Amino acid sequence: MLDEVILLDAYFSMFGMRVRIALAEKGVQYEYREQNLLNKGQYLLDMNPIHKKIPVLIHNGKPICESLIIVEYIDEVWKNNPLLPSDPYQRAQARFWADFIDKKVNDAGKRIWYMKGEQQQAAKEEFIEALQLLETELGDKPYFGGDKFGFVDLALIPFYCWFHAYETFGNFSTEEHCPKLIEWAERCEKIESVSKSLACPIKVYEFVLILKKKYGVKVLKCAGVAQAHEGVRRVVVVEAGSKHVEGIISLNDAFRFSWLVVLILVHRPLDVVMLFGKLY
Amino acid sequence: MGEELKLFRTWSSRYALRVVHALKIKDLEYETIFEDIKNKSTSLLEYNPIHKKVPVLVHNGKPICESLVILEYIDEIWKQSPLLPQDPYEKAMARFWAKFGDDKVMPSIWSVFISQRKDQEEAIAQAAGNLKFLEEQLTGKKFFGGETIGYLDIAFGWVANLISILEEIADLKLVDAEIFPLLSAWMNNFSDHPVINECWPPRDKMVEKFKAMREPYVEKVA
Repeated sequence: MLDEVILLDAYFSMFGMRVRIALAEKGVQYEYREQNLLNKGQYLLDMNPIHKKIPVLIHNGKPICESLIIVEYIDEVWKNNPLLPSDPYQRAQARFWADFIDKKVNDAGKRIWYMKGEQQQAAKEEFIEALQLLETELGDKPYFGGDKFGFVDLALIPFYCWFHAYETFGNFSTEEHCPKLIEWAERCEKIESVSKSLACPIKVYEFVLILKKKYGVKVLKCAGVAQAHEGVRRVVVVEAGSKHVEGIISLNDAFRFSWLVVLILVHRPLDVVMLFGKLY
Repeated sequence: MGEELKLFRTWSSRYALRVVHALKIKDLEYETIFEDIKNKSTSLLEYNPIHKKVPVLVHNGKPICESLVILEYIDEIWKQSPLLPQDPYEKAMARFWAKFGDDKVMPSIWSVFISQRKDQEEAIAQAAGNLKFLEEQLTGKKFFGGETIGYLDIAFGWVANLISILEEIADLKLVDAEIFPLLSAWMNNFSDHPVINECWPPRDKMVEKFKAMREPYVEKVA
């Protein structure tokens, strides 16, 4: 029986790139379907009703979501060219570091390009610290997997094509802080599955630029959670550092915005990033 | 063969409890080291320098961190009473729901616990939506793992233990047996299971602890 493999993905997504690399490493034939994340198709919403996100791998009609879970699934179904080590302790270490990348590198990286001022500076420091820890873990090995490109390499390398955007918006150089990691990244780029899966760094930068300009990404300080007369919970947003009130937005609407909105429901001032900039 | 197993935990950590449950199911002997979060031991900081957290499982001197990573490790080394399904798709589903529990369900329950009035109403709606997914996953099953307790039951252990404590303190009902019949039944089946019920932390201490954690969020009524 012929396998039907479909990947719902978006060109710029580091998480999607992980899956593309894994499928390429295994030599799996699949259909790539680029998704419009600003206008999500019904098929994506049907295949990932919980998170409504990409990537989603659909194998013979059955969807699998969450990039690292998808990669482990691929590794278990297609046994050639294993991505995870065979030794259980090494596997545990690989899973640990992949989880670290998701928790530390991804979060800080995002905040570099959409935050300003102190928040951006803090994000830069966290980002560099995370990369330095990874660099220490890499040590003298050619890859995190040892002699061979593996699970942790695959988990991290897609972020490399976003470094140019982070560095430009954050005004810093990763190479200056983590030269060995950059060497590792350049080594990975020579691998065919990687080079054909990663987005072009210049295009990534331009993509972020478009997002910031077109949708008016601003860093606004949430001055508090105010009660509106209608009884609907609203948030008062002001420009960071000023008293000028940008507007008032309902919490329900804030939660409905895309993954780039960061709003935490607490009773104290926090930063709010409005991707679409529509205020009520 | 001499296996040396040590578990670094705190008395209340729901993440450490996952490992306690897994080790019990696998019938493994181990040494427990209780940590004081405000005064972490040198050993813990050496074994988990990155996150400096519990749980850490140390197997023959080698540390494994992050509770779900530890569960998979235990399952791969000790093959009796398997925790994860064999089928790759079912395994992927178990991992997906465990992650959903940590990333979405737990924070939404916490929001209910620390918010009030209108905020709380919205938080309850959000949490209920998340719990509905869990309810659906139990269709036709006694446990998330099927007939026996598995990885996902252990990952959701905090639901069986912690939610009723938070409900008592906040004086509300999140998991109503009429709205969530399967989840309510699962909470009882899981909690009453002989392997599980010996391992719960003392309830009165838990109530005291979480009451104190809620304090800063509760507005004083004038």
